[in-house]
Amino acid sequence: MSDDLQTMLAELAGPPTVIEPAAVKARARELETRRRHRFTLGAVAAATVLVVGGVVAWRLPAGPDRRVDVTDTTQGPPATVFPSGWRDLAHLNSDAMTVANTMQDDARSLLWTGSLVVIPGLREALTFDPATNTFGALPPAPIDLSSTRGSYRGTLPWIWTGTEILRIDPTPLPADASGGSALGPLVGQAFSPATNTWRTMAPAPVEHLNGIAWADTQLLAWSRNGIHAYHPATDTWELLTDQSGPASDAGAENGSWTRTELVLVGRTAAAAFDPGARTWRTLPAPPAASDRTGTTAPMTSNPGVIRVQWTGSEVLAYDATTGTIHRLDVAAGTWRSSPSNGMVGRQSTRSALWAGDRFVVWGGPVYAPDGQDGSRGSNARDGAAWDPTTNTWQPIADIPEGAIPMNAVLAGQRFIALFQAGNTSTHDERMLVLQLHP
Amino acid sequence: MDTTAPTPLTGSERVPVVVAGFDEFCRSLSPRLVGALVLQTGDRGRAEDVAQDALARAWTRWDEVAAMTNPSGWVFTVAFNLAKSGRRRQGSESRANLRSIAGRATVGADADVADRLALDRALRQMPHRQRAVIALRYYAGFNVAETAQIMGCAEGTVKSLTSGALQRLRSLLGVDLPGDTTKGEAL
Repeated sequence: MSDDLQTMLAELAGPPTVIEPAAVKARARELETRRRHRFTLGAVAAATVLVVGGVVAWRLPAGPDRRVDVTDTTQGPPATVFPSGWRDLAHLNSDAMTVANTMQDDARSLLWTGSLVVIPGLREALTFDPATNTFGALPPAPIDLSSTRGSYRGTLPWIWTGTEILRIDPTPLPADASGGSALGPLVGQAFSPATNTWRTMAPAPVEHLNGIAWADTQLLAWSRNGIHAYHPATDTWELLTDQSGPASDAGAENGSWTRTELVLVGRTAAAAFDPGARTWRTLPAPPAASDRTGTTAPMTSNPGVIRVQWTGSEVLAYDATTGTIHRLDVAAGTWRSSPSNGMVGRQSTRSALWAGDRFVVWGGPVYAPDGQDGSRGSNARDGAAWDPTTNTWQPIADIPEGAIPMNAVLAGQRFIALFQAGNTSTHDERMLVLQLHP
Repeated sequence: MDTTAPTPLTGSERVPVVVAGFDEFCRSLSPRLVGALVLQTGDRGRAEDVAQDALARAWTRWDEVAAMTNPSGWVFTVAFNLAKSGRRRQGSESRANLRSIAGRATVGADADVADRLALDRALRQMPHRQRAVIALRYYAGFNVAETAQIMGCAEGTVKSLTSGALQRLRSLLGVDLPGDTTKGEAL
């Protein structure tokens, strides 16, 4: 085997192809002609839509509208540098959002499937195509969870396996002795984009769910009762261990798959589970880990570790109470911490995300100083991006005034955030999709 | 047609920053642009289409592009974004990547075909961003900063992707590959 990678690549790339300038110029003229043609067609179509839409609106009685309606879209070049500012991509009207029921906990997780961003709903989900800045919808899921799903604080109720979207929800159990709600068996549903169909997953013998993560070929679900694996190929669940591990009782709602282990980070403990060997490895607790208080309240002034992320070289645990990123060297089992971003104790669990090469934190509700009641004052608009190579925070542009961040997803090289705008108390909501761009 | 495989660029042989005219720029850049896109997309026909579209965009704003610090980097950026968008429209990364290019490589009949097949398979198993850094750095001859600009990411990310890509190639090919010595830059 030749050790000359460059020569091998040159041979693999094949013979050199010279593109003649004349052909390029002809192609440029063709593209310009097409662009003008599209513009003309677009103008005609827009005029037609306006006329027909006006007639239809005049003739039809008012009533519930389940259309997915994009009221404003702008298309620009893909993002090339990050971070810089926000660009408004598209607006989604409140009717479509009501269909998707994306409010509150359901929008905790956006999902990138490689071509579409999926915006979860209890039964129906919206899709956003960043290539065209248009919204669509998935068919309704077979199980409507609007009245049965349990309260789940984990961050990833939806999983993309590479071929299917898995939707995992716990069902509620009767209130326990302390008055808190407990989580019963999981309800799982899977959607295949290839066939545009849903299937109901095998019943999951998992209760008291803490969190789930996709681990290359299987779904791992960790709970007070151990770790279960779901195998999509056989639609079966398997108990990997009934040992819940040192982190499970320490608020380990967040974890991340490192390609070899599942690393869980809790309030006072951390641990790694090897699904191959089915063994736990105790890790040191994150430094100055914050206590995550509250139960079903989505946020308090003391949210603790809200996001755990494997970057390919280390595990990051973002502590929203202190605005600090704790960095775990998994092999050495040692922690070190970033400086604080100064945005202490007020960040939403929905607005902190690893963006490929930076960790981005933005927006979030501001709580009263005593903080424990979860009362919200206003929403912060600033944010910062942390660069692991320099271990520094860099401010990012303020989010639009009045916009409430719901969540974000790294879609290819584009960082797309979903916002809510408008008055939620009167259901006058609008959804914005924005993208950080140069 | 010249069937000799292009010699990889060294740091001093990069496409010149100052370009005299579009025709010369197009002829000098296109072989390397097409080759890099072949490695990235696994499809020569698509690579040629994408390269032509990217060059067409450069032609329509040639005054602006020619005045840039790195016109070739701009064209590579546009081309790789077009390749990515095209892949997204196809709806599946795998469909594009699963097309074998080794079988169509007609160069070097006496070269080790098994090596090329192995490398082809290895590239097709890599994530597209790792494949891009290999194509841009080890085939097209861009340095870390230029590659970062083309890919729209930080230099640290390029180094990390390069390290991961080389490690993956070593693992998949089962051989020792040279270190990152293309530009004499550290990973």
